[in-house]
Amino acid sequence: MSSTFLSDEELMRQLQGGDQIALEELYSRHSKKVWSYVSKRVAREHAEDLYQDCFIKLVDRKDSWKGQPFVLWLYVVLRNLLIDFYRSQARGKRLIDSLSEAESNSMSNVDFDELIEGAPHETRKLLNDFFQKGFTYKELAHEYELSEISLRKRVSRALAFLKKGD
Amino acid sequence: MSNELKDFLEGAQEVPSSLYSQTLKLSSLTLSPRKMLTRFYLVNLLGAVLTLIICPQYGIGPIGGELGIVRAIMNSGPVWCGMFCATIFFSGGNLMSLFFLDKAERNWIGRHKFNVMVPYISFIFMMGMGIRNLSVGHIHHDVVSFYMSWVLTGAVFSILFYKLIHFFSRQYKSSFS
Repeated sequence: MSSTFLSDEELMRQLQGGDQIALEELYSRHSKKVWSYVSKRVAREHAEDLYQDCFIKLVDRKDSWKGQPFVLWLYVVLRNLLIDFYRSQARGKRLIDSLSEAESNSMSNVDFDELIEGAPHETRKLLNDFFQKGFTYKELAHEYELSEISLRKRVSRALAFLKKGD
Repeated sequence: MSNELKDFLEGAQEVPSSLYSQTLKLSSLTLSPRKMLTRFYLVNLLGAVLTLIICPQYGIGPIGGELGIVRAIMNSGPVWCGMFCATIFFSGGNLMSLFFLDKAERNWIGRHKFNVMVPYISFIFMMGMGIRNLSVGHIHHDVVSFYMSWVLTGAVFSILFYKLIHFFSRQYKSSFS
């Protein structure tokens, strides 16, 4: 029977037996879902890595699939990858925070105001809240009524704006 | 149903074509890497053996051999000699393998560098230990420090090599855009 007519679960069983065609069919069926999900949540370069990791994990962990609905299983694999990614980013963020704390001690308010001068009002306010007032992402997300991820993206964009202004 | 899951199920964004094909190839290699790995090991070994031409022990010409320039490195002691030998040996092998592997295959090896390189280096090491008494001439550094520095440099260098390849391919990536 052509693999096109098989269910995801049947294909997964074939993949567990090492069937290359089953892999190709599953890949073609679900690649858009995975790409849409990751590309909306992380920057492009990381999205590409997560997308690849997801399908490599799918093959690596094929034997841990025990017959549950395939698409949900794939979603869990992807979500775990994304959580691991956020965790690794958070570790990096803590390191950056400790460095920027040391730097901010040597940076006067006047220097900071000069730095953000020319940025749009909203960007200035956000950067001021984050760097000068010392609000955390979580606190700012609450104040701005955004999810923490959206808030992080907004801070990244604000920083990118300042970089461009150099 | 959670919004996240709904978002996942409804996702229909087109995957960039290059990323699509690269990922399919990576997944296929993960499913059955044997053929590619055989090619990788053979090419790597060939490239590595070719570098012996500049070895002070086995080499010839103005660089290698008894009277070659690299003799100075051999005279600087077993640790330096081991590090130099392993660096050149695995440079030759890994560089040669770059020409015989495509981007997805290099990417796959880069992702599995530890699992790929450690058995290979161990095999080469054991083989080297086995045939060392068959070599022509006198081996000057038949001491533990030479072998230890050789095997450690080989492992560290090979892993760094693929890290660098990965780094540069990300910095100057053109195929995904």
